[in-house]
Amino acid sequence: MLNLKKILTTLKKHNVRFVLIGGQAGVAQGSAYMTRDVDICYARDKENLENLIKTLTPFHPYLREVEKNLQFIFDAKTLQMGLNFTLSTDIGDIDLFGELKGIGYYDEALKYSEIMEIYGIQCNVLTVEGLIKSKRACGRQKDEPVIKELEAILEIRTQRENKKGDKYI
Amino acid sequence: MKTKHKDAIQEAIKYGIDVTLLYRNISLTPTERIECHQRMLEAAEELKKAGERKRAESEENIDDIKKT
Repeated sequence: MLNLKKILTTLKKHNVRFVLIGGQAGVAQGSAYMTRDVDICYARDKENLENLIKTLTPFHPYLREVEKNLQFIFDAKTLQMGLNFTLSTDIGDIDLFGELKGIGYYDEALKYSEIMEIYGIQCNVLTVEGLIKSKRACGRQKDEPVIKELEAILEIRTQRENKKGDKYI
Repeated sequence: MKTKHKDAIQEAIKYGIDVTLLYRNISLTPTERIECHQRMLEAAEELKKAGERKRAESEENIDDIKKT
């Protein structure tokens, strides 16, 4: 079972620079879709890769959909050689994205993020606009309803902000 | 601009999205949204397990019937 609190706590504890993206970012922004994994866009400098390894190694990360008997070494070299990794860990499935479609690498994802407090932790979370941009770039049919939902969330927020504004007129 | 935004909600409804859930979620804090989602995941997991148990029981019953 996914333990987002544990994942975010340990990532922060080891000073991993990341942006929460994907379904969990959607949930944090108000989406009602259910998701079983955590997606993050991570910075690819050496220090951050090492921090990411320190964070996840105790939770036995392994590539999903790969035979269990295949050797997988979760180290900086492996992370440097790849970009995106779909991992299964003791605290849930975690997908690591070096690059986010429609957005770019970590620095770009950061520009499309906002700081949210989740479980008392200050997290960079992809904005609704960023989520829409990324989903649109993927061009997958299954994302169409998600995009519609995100657009509705933007509208509901606008309505609420306008209402708040009305109080002061 | 307002009309365009209103369309976004109507479009979502057309897609079968329950916008009342969105209004509810937006009124919560991000942590509350995540916690609510976590509870739904746990409930879904329980239902899945219950379904699996029921199927296993049914298969056992069929095996028993075949034996007799």
